[in-house]
Amino acid sequence: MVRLRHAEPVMGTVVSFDVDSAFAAAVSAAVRWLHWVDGTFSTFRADSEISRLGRGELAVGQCSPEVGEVLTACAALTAQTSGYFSVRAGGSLDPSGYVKGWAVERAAAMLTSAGSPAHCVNGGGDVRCTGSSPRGGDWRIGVADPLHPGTLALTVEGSDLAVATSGIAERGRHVLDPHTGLASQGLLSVTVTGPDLAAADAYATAVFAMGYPGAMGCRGEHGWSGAGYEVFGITADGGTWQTPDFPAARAAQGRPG
Amino acid sequence: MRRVILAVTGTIAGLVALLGFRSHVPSAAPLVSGTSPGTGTAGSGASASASALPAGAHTVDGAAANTVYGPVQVQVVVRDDKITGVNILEQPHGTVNDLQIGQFAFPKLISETLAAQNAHVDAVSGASYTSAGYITSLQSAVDKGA
Repeated sequence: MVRLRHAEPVMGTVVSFDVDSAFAAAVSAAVRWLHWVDGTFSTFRADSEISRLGRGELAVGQCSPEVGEVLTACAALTAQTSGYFSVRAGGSLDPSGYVKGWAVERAAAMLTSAGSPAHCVNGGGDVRCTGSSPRGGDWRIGVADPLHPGTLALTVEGSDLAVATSGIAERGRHVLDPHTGLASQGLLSVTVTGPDLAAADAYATAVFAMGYPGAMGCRGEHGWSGAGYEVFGITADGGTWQTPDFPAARAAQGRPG
Repeated sequence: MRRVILAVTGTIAGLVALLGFRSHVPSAAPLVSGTSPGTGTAGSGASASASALPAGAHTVDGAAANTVYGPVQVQVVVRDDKITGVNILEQPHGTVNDLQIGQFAFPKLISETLAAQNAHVDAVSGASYTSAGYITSLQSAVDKGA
């Protein structure tokens, strides 16, 4: 089995594919999909449907059906997270905290539909793996250590697993607390694992927005049940915390050298 | 050893890509000049030290990859079939741009090659990188080192 590795610059980042080379055509279709999502949902493009919708030039009904689908899903996630996930955290319409994970989840599903039994798609740090790894057994997903660039904080193992991380370095922007409009404090990164990357991406954004120590209560006082989803956080002083069933393979190893 | 050779190739490919010269990466992977365990490197006037190798370690030189900025050549230190260090045998120098490459990009690519290889991960989750930042991301090292 020859593996195909493809890295596609799109959505302001790079989406990496790891799949059997027999499914190259499906990768091409997934890449076209990602570029369509970029053109439709980018808040950096004044002529995207989401930008025009945000300015009131379009109604939801005049947009592509996917726009309404995304906004409906975002509204449900806002309700599930006591408002900590919001498409208007910064004032203007911006569903980016959901769209990237959603787009990558769909791209991975396209590979599955084409018959690929095992693949991994990484959308700029938000990872969806399907089936078992090319080595056999679980996929191994490293979680980057924001305090020590180039090293991993820990490794997550699993098959059919989504891993999303929100952090302060995210495209050079801060994650805002929708309730205050201010930058979230106290956390360097939040990683959420679970069955669906779209939800995991939104949950990671929401838990990060709660700040620290508030995020430690994400399961209870903030009203998010997050069934099936697990959380790992790194605080500003380098401390870590995680929910009991977070699928960590092992603690971080020392810096190589 | 094959993994090591691939890692050397990946590092060179990364460096060449970093230099904005992807289209000129030779279609045949840069060949590795084989060395037997413990022999270190010979010739090429390498200034990188192979003299202080830990017991059981040996070095493998990557072939020089020619770029528009000049030849690039790296050497890896191998112990128990794992890369334990990377030396730069030859790198471009003489311009401001080259200085940045030497002082910033080389060390960073090296540390990322090591980190990704040591951890044996399939992908890396983290705060989003920009398309420009991808080249120095751990995921980039994973993509190239597979």
